Amino acid sequence: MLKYTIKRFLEAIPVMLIVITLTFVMMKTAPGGPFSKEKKVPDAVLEALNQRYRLDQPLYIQYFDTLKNTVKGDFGPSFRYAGRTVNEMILEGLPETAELGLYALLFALVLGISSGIIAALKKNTWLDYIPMTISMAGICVPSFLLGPTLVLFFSIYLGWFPVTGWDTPMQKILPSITLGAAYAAFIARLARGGMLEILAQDFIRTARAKGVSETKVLLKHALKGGMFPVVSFLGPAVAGLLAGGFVVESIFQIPGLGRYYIQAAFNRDYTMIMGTTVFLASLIVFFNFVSDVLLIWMNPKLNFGKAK
Amino acid sequence: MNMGLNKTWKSLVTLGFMGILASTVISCTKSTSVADGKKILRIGNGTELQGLDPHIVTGVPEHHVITALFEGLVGANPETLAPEPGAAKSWEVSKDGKTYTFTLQDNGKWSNGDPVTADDFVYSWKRMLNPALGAEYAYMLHVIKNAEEFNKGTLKDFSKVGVVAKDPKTLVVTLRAPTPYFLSLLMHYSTFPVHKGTIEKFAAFEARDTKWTQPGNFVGNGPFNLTKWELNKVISVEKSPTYWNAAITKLDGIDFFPVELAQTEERMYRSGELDKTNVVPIHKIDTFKKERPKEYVNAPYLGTYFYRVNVTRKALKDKKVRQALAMSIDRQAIVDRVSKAGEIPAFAFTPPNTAGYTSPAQTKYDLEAAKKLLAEAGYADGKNFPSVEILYNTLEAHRAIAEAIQQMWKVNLGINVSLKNQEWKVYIDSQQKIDYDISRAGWIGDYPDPNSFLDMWVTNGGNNNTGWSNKKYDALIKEANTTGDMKKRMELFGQAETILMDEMPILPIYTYTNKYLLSERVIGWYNNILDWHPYQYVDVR
Repeated sequence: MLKYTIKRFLEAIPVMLIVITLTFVMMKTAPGGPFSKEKKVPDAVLEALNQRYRLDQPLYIQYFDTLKNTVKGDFGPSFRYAGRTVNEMILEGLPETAELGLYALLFALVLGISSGIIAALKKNTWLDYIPMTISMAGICVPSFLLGPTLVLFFSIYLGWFPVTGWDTPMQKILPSITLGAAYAAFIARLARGGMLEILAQDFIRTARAKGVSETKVLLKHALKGGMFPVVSFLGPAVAGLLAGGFVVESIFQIPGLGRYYIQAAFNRDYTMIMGTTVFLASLIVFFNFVSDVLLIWMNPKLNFGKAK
Repeated sequence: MNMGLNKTWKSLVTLGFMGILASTVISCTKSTSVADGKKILRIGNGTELQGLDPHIVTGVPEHHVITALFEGLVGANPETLAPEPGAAKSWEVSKDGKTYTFTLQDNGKWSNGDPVTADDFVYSWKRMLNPALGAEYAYMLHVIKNAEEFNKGTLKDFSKVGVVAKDPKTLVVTLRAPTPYFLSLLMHYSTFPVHKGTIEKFAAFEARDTKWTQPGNFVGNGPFNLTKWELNKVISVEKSPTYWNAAITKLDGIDFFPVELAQTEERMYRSGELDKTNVVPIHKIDTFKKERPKEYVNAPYLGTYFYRVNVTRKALKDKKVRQALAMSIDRQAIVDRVSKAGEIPAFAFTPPNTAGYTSPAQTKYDLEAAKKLLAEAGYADGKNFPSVEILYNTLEAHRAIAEAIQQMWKVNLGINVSLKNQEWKVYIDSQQKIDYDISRAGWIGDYPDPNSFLDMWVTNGGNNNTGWSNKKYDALIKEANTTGDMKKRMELFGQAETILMDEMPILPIYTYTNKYLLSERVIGWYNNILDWHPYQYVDVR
């Protein structure tokens, strides 16, 4: 277990190095720079700016600067937002994004797992068909459609929720549902599949034959195994929720991180592009790592370290 | 797996969850700012600000906030745009139009109580012009004697630049030539003063990235003072008690919301969370026009939507071809049916009635003449016309217009053009390298004077980007900017624009309008071509 954990952890280093290098290359080959504007910046000014942000240095020096800064965990000043550092901006947006991601995940887990289990238990009845049809739709409906629809109905027509913002509990409901819906749908299908597979196993039949109550069969024997697919999905899901909030954050005016990922690229805000990309990549690597470790914890049979 | 590790894992997971839950509960208890009977104007402001340092930023959303926080020497009446006292209570212009003597307000104060002095302006303009600061708008001050030389680094001695503090309340500015729009330049935030003590508390004077504009650190001289700046959420300002004219300020504060999605902004407006929007979603314009005509504002704006023509490309080299292209665009149809927002068809480059000037030469929509010109150029009915491409930056609205023009040229002239879109920065790069055939463009004047539109087309002008050059045009623009005779000046601009409209390195399409929603709750808000809204005059019901 420990050996596997360390091995998985060390694998992250080359992954991050590749991410940084590719980002750097793409960033520098994209035409235009942080100071290319519709109204052309005078040459003398451009020179001063390039000097100030070390863009006048040869590319390999800029590359090593980037690596050095990344190792130090300091991405430097944003090229666009005067007087702010990339670190500051990420830290300022992170709590909102994390909170939104957490609520969306909780919503997705509660709704997804419960409807998945019910669907599995009542296989081929309306309790299976209806949630599964809705979940298919849930996966298909993009958040930029779901969000505004919810707002139009619940906020503007019924007046129950504020249209935007992220301060009061009431403001947090619609965005969390919007972001969580697709995940709930996905989890529901995974949970149903996992449960069906487990419920067909011999040990469940044995338990039932021994007269164990159905609730106990479900909670004690089936649930743990049935949730395997859900847990393995959680790693990428958490990373996706943290990184993929862009659309929902824009629709509901939530001051999170999401929009930096997108805007930084459009602004050619080099330090911000690098900062957000490295941050996001480490989240993905980290949560995949956590979910792998969790899986092994739940099922020692998967312990690759020992298998060798 | 041994039991110890198992337990450790479980407790770690539990701890993690508890931590997240705790932080959730804490953040839930943060409450929103409530207006509690105060008069707060709530404005949708497009995007998060680049910053609040008037010498560094370059955008329109920044303009909206900075004009609340700072004040330049001269303001303008929001209704008539006539110059009004600002940080200066009065000014005198010398007979030759080159020397301006400003007398500052007796009780002009910074928000920390320090008096606003003539030295503050000298300091601020020195900072702006210092090449090391890299101020993109420094050229706004180039009309001052020797300012350009100092800004380009060829002159090191600032005392030779034409700005002197004669005494704490008297500022004398010497221009390099009579500049009738000089007072309008002073309304631009790049000429606003900054507080020396505050700038230098944080870093040397040419540093760009300091914290002086953060709430708590910030010092300004405008009618409002900065109280809150939460990234991507809100910027709040409140009435400044130290402002010299605080007695007339009616609002208690203004909240600026950086709302990027037009649809979100519109929903906020409809639910009463905003009093003024930044834009109106195009597909909602008809609805608002019909259902809430009083709230839908469509005001002319000092800007032109046009196409640049690369005059170095085959076929486009011939001015007859360019004239034919210009004459076969049905601009009325474009504004009525494509952009749909009541823009004004443009037949010359400078927007009509800019500082009283309207171009004497206008192109027209004339298919017969266009066909004839194209035939004279050797492409009768579009035969043998080489393939030409329209470049635009990726945006639905630009695509729609380009498609309409593509269609018009095909039907009217028989020529085939293709369309190409590029992401914004790539598009700018192509444009500045003149790597295109025909390219969509927009130009917003920096100040209300024909010069802001016409001097860009001089040979090798930084924003020319068409390869077009005309010696006579260059001479006319130069003469217009040195003559002291105002009537003659406008005539010279007229002659220059006549050349421009004959040579057609650009195809004007429409004059921009500023479209937004304004609640009937707001009083004292006027529409003008400069998007100039001195907030001290604004009130809410």
